[in-house]
Amino acid sequence: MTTLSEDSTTTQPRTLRYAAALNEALDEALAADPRVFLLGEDLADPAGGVNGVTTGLSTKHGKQRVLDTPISEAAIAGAAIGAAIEGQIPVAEIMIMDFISIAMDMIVNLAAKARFMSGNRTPCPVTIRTASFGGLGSGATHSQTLESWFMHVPGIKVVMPSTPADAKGLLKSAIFDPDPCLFVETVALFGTAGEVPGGDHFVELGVADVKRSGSDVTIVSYGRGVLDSLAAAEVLAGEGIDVEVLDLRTLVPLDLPAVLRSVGRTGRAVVAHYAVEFAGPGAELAARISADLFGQLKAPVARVGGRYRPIPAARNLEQAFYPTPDRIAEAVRATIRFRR
Amino acid sequence: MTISNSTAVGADVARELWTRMTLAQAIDERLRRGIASGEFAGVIWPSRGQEAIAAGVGTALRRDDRLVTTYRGLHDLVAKGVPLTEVIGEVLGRSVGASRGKGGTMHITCPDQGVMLCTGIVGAGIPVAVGLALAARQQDRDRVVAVSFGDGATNTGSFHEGMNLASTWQLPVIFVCQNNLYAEMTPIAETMRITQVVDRALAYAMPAQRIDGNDPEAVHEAVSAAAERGRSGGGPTLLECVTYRFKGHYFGDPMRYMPADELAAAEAADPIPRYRQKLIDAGLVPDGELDAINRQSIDQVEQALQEVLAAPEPDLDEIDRDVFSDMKGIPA
Amino acid sequence: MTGQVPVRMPKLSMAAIDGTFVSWLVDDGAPVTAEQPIYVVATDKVETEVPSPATGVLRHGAAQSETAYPVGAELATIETSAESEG
Repeated sequence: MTTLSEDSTTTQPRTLRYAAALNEALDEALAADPRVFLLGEDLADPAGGVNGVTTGLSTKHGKQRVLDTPISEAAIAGAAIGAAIEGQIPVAEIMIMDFISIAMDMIVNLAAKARFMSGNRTPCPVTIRTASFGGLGSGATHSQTLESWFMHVPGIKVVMPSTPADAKGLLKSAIFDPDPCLFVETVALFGTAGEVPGGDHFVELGVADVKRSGSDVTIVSYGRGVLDSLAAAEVLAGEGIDVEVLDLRTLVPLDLPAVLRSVGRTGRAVVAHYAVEFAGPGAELAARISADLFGQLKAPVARVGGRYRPIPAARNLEQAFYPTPDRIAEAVRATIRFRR
Repeated sequence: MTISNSTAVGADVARELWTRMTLAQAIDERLRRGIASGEFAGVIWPSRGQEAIAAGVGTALRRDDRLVTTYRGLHDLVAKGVPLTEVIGEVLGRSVGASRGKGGTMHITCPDQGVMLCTGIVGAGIPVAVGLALAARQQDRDRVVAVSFGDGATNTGSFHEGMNLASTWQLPVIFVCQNNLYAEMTPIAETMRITQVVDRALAYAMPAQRIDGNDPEAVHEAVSAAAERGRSGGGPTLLECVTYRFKGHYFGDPMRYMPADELAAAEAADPIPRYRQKLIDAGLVPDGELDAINRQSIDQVEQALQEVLAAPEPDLDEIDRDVFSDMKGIPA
Repeated sequence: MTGQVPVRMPKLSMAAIDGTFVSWLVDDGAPVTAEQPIYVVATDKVETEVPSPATGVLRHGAAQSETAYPVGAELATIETSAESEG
């Protein structure tokens, strides 16, 4: 775990790990605006957060800006919502995404609806950070990827970065966004490294990113699925299949035009995500791609998602639950092979 | 912790209390009358019988102090100063409502009068009230936050999480429990083992008081003291205001679960005629003036109602407004 | 000068979208005062007496017994005069 960057206003791009990129985003946000503050469990030093994401922040910015809370997910979310309504810029943390169900009433019935129900009198610019702990052997109640729940409730933005650069840039955008944002981090990616632009790096919400250009098939993904998709693309390149990997980066707002542009060109789409495939975000994407590009598709839209099972704890069982580069590659091959 | 009775307030405060009580009664009765006869359609959760609490809270708070209340909160709202047309407009779904008809009875917001949130989910206002108080401290203001809820809410997780956090962080929250002895349609003895909600404050090391919720002066005094405590950094207070609701849980509730003699006794102790008599006996406000204020409240409600009934329904494009700050990338 | 105040099916509970008209409590052409019960409605098997919205003379509409009418449907009118308007 890196310590806080001495000079976070460097203009040079650097290689950072995903967790350090999140730390930098929070550090810069706290420095940029006195209304920003963090609240959640074990955030302050010396703990610095369960995975060290908030290391150093309370020491640098003060314990009044990085608040340790009791284990009270509803109160954490609710207090953040109240503070946001009063014009503060709270960044609440729900440590593990599975715990977010305790805060659902606050998020779904208050944060997502405050602007609408009040007729714009009380907008709620809260940011709720949470982390999916999938793939780490933690068992069924500490491993889920639940972004689809929030896509289904009008009024809350859903952000899910796959790289350190996107993690930093999207978190800063989410924090300063005037709407409530759910920012989903992926713990299995915390150690992955990537180049992060220097300067005051923001990534606009609602803009997808082509992580790999290609012409034969589009894999639409986000979060950890992007890495698996890139790995699958490498294997497939050796078989003469040229894969484009489109990273959505944000689920709400959704960059549908980017998806349709890409699939309109390739004619084939595979949607890959770590969320359960059944009734998952891929279903929405597949329906929209199929409806909008019906006559141009060379194959049905395929989805590769988590199995419809509680997530087992044993390592080999857990691995059978998730998408893998192999499963994604096989789905791609099937679209290439498809004949009417 | 015995129920405490009030000491006298001055004539000015007494008049204010009476005015707000009559306004709360007038809006509840006029809306129920209109809904009952089919004159108009709306959904309300009647607050008849609980006016003294609303008036005591409304008079003790400053305009910029915050109030969070519930779906059974029309009395709280008018007593805090929310314009009648904004309240009635939301109940009847018209464009002149506080949120142009989009919030409805349960979600009336009026930051201008300090009403930041009303909730339809029992207990939900409590954690948010803690956040409002946190922001007041962060912004270096001496505002306090009153959050109103019923006895039933004190059994929710949100209540306990919010009480604990407010106490741990010593935030200026006044927890106003309007204990009307029923949670939806179940009597309080069947929902908790304790007999007094105020005892819950012990678990959070929070100062608390149990008050006759039908005595507006007692409520006023208790809220004033709690506000002073909050403003001076003394942290939160729980006030259990014991009262009764005369019209059941929702409008149209046949109230089969409420014993008839219990209801009759409560109605005989109606806080409004009781306070009227107290003011007359004390020589504080003459009966003619009290009755004139009452008529004025009724007239104001009628005038606001007619204004609302004459107002249009909200524009259809309101459904696309205020979902997000802008709609790029948002599904249709 | 006379007016006509409509008597509409009330919304008697949060979930109600209609009500079943049961019977008149006051004859056609009879005088009524505001808030006096004038007919009986059943919703979810609960019978409720519905009060008059105004003072005047009740004119029955075409409401049939044991028939459901949507909330807001006009069941009758009250003829009011200038002095007695509810």
